[in-house]
Amino acid sequence: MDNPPMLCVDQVTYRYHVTKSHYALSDISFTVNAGEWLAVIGNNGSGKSTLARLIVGLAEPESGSILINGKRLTERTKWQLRQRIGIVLQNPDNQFIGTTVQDDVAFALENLNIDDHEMQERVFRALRLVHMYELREKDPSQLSGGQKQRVAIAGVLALEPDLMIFDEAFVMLDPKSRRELLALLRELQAKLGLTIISITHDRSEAAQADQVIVLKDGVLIDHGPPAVIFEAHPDFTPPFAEQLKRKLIELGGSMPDAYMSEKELVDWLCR
Amino acid sequence: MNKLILGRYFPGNSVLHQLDPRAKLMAALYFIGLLFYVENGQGYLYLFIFTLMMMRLSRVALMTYIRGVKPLIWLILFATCLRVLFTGGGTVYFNMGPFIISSFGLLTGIYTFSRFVMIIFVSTIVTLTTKPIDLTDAISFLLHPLKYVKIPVEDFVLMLTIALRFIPNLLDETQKVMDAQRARGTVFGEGNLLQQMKKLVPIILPLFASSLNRAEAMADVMEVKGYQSGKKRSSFRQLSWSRRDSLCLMGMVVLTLGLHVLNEVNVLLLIASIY
Repeated sequence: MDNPPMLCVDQVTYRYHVTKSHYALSDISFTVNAGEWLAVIGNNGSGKSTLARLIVGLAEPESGSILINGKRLTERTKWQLRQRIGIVLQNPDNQFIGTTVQDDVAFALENLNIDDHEMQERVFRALRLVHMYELREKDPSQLSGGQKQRVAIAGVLALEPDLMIFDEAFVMLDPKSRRELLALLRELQAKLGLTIISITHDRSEAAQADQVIVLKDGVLIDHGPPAVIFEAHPDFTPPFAEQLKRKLIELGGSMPDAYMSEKELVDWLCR
Repeated sequence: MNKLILGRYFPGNSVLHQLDPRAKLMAALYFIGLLFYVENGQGYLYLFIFTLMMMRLSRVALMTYIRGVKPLIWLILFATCLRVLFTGGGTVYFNMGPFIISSFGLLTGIYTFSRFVMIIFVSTIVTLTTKPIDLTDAISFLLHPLKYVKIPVEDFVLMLTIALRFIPNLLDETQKVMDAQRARGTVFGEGNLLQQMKKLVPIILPLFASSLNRAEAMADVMEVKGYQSGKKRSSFRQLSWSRRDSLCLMGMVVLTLGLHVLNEVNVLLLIASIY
């Protein structure tokens, strides 16, 4: 292959504190090629989110290296490399920095010192992509969780990144907008050649990926296409809501197919 | 919280709403300065009429402004009383130890009172007709020169913006924590002051904890989004200065001239009365 892979994680080890013997991640290696979609699955505490933090340079591995587009991620290069990486986190409130929708989407572009005409164009384009253009003047208190998450995604899209990371970003969304956004990402991935890493509990989200890696207690235990992975790990413990749902189905209940967050499940059960 | 008018924004479409926040802020600050240049009753009346006209222009009900003064009325009355009781001169009506009530003192008292009220009215006009975010932009503009003495104006302004942005979240969270404590049997608003203060502790601690967590998460997001303190940033929000805004500042010049004439006229009358 001519181009270096988009992301190359090589023998990465990390622990939260040097005095602790517990490793959050140990000896993780994998590569993601440009235009590929990688899903990271695993139980709570398996190190999925830690991995995301390492890839965006919020934490430094104890040993091993992370290469983005062939460039090694270090304290020095991280600012430059981040210009092409976007991350969307689970809690939409904590990542909403601007006072209004459009200000928030513009935040990262302001940091890149992009002139205001181009900035406006990019902000509006990104907002149209996630269908939030009409709500661009609203402030976060007027938005639902799903809408805030769309704004967060628009904020990343406006950067026109090569690599997008979603850390449980769709958990808070209702099933319909989750499906829509996933379809949208699929489309954008094909059109713009985006590389996507999604950290998820949702099987249907992971099923969209080209590759899946499974983490368990900080160790990479499997790596392969979704179909193969799901075959080999039918038991991988999903979050509580999903477990409950499956139990209910086992007991003969009829439940919707889509993945549900805890709140949705409660709402659905109380109906 | 709903009682506080000063600092709130009332959406609207009046001339004042449409003014550039920089013009509004500069004019208001200038006006407050001007209040200390007034020398006589006519001057105060003149500025008061101007203030009333501006209040009219904002198309916000007069009652709103009066409610804005209410929370501060005791402070104003206190300051007024001090002026009345400790200023001598003119006809003395009452005298006991250091306290003195004189015609001159009463007049100064009225001046102090109207000065305070006008300061509150004018600042209320600005905040009622300007979105907080536009106001921060204006503050950023006015503080701009401080950058040359190495004061991190941009960081300060961003701090202000984020603080404003999180007020509704914080209020929400306070409500949630209070509900949670209520569910555990706390009754708020009962008992003496000390007991009431004690009840606030289990609200403030969780709020602090969650605010710190939130601050940490946000700092991470800001870092990933490429925010670096002291780095040059462009700005999505662009203020546009129009003819209207220049007119507003010109209006302040005219106002000053009018006041100057009033001051002079009084002096002239005084001289005339001597001869």
